[in-house]
Amino acid sequence: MFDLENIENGDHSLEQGAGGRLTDSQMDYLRELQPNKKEWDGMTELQRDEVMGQILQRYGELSLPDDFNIQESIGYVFDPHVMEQYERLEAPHDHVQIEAIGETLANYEDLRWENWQDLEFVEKIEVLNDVETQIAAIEHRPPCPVRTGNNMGELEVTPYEISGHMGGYRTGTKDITLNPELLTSDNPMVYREMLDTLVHEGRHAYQDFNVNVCEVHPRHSEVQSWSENMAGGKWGYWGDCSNELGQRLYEQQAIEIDARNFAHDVLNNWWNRILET
Amino acid sequence: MENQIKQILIDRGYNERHATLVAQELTLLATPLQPLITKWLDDEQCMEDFETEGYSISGLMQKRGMTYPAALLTIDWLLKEPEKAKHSLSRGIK
Repeated sequence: MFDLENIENGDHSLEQGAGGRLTDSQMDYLRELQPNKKEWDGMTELQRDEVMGQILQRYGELSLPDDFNIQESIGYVFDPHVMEQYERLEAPHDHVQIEAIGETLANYEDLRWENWQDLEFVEKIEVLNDVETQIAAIEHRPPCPVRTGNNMGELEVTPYEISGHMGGYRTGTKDITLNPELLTSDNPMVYREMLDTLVHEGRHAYQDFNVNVCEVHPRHSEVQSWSENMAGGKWGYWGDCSNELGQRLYEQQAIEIDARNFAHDVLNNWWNRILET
Repeated sequence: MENQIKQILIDRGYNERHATLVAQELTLLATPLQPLITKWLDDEQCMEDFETEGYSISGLMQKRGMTYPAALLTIDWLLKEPEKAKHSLSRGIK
């Protein structure tokens, strides 16, 4: 039974109707978010994703059983344009994303080391923006502008390691900043680090999109742990905070572990493809 | 003790969340580092150095912009899990 009092008190755990279907009142609650076709046509892709995020949030509030078919329900409750958006929404599982991004990197001619070295700086920026657009499409999120930063300091490169500030993703401006040295170095190890950083920061953009705009990641529990890690979440720290917390607490943030592992797997996939050619 | 450390960290520029996390970690420092944090808590200017595995508190502060407590915690990690800590430090910040 629909319980208006519970809604007013902020409790949206509504009882379901017979056969696992929504009650009329539950449907009314969801349909409050129904955009008309004219509004919808005037929206950007990001705005549409935001509406989908709100709709999915409301489904979450209803505390529906695990086997409840949201896709079927959206088709019943909302107009077809919302359903089409939902079908495009869910991102592939990580292993599929890793394969697809590895393939994208390996097949991108200008990104091959032998070609990359001959590009002008501006051309390199264009290539990285184009690659990021392709990665974003694979991850079902909007692409981020890729820039180089001015005050990121020098990288320290030894035969065994590269240290320094490689890059970052900013949640406010939704852009990816890379240390310009990553683009200008003639050291292939630094070039590999640049690819790793691009994928790593892109993964932060994916985490941010899932937590703050619209959940497209197929594993909800992972999105929850990212959410707890991000500003405003349970721990409230984000990004490079090693200067205050020390290296271990920085390293062990859920979002950093995830971005590091994801980029590592993509780079391994890319490298194996390069070796095969 | 943890609350006292937390308050000192806040007084010295940490926000509440970071202070909570760091204060908790500082109470668990390895034995050789405990006198160092005690001195720093008494006097912010007292920043005794310590070196292990090729890293020092002063080096971490200068090269990586760490605060004294952050550098201490990093040295603590190097003492407790040297390989993991060195591997982490050898990666850049991203």
